[in-house]
Amino acid sequence: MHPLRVFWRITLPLIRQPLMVAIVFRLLDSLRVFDLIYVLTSNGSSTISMSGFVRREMVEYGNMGFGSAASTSLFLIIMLTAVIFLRLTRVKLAEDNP
Amino acid sequence: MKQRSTLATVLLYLISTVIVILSLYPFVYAISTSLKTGNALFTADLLPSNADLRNYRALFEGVQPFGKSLVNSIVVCFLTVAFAMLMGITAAYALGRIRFKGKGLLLVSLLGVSMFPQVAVLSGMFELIQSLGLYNKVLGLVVPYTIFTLPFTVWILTTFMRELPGELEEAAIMDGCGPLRIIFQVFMPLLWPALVSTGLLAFIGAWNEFMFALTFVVSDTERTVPVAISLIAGATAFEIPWGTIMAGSVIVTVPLLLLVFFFQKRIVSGLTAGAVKG
Repeated sequence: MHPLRVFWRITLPLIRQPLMVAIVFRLLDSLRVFDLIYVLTSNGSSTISMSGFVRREMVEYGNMGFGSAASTSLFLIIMLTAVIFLRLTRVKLAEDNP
Repeated sequence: MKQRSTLATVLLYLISTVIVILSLYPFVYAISTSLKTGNALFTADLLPSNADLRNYRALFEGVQPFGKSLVNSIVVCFLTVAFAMLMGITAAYALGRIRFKGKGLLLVSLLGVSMFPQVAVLSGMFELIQSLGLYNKVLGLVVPYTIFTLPFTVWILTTFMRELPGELEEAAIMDGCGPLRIIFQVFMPLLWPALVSTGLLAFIGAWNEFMFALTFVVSDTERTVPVAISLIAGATAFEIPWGTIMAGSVIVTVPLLLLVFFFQKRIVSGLTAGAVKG
């Protein structure tokens, strides 16, 4: 059998579970990104990320209520993304063995 | 195993070379830029014609206390790792070794917490830090960093703890060891590879953290290095001192490289080699 075929048909299905967990972690990490965008685009408002928006409202503008609402929304967005992703890929994060 | 054809071998090495260049080139370019001054900064030569260490000197003699930031970062990171390891290993013993109800749920929620957006706890953490009197103090950063690294630390240590042979624990109990003694004198020596790798990851996480260091610390002398580098300013408002920024970035990378090289052997060394025979 051709090695590429072995990879696609056997190796990849076997590491599917950890691969999906890795993907969901990277996905959530990139959804809450702050520092890279903040530093590289000089805190500009046209390129602000979700986390940056929350921080700007709370820390720089002092809008505690609005900022908290934004941060709760961000949390819900991230949680929903994770739940939908894990549902669609049918990945279990942990087996419930003793 | 079939012999690989020459073409495949050449292709393999070609692709590996491309990957190595892609991942190392930015760092090489940073070093090269950090050695340039004046107009040479805006040429793309990899080997600067008149290299000198002026940028590095400027970094430590400048208005901003970069040396102090470096010390701050090192202290915060070591304290974070120490706290995280202490709490992580005790929690991992409970989660990996003791049977109790709801353990699976607890583990999954631990993993869930590590996916939590950090900015969501920013306001609450701000209140906590302020009421502890740690606002604008670099040591205050140990609190959020420990909290953020703990879920991951506990999770990894638990999986390692579960793999350890149960006979060791039974033997220790027969010899009259209490739980604390089992953790620190029986399991901890066996867990060194796991402790080193999780400790290293916790250190890197705390070393690179930016948002909380930016928000909870206001004065220049209490800053950590990522924020200090991002705030390096030129002589005028329109000048970005690329040379000094790159010098700072290179200096900040060195401790991590040293740690990894120093602990490399421990990470890969056998986990329970020689603990239980047969």
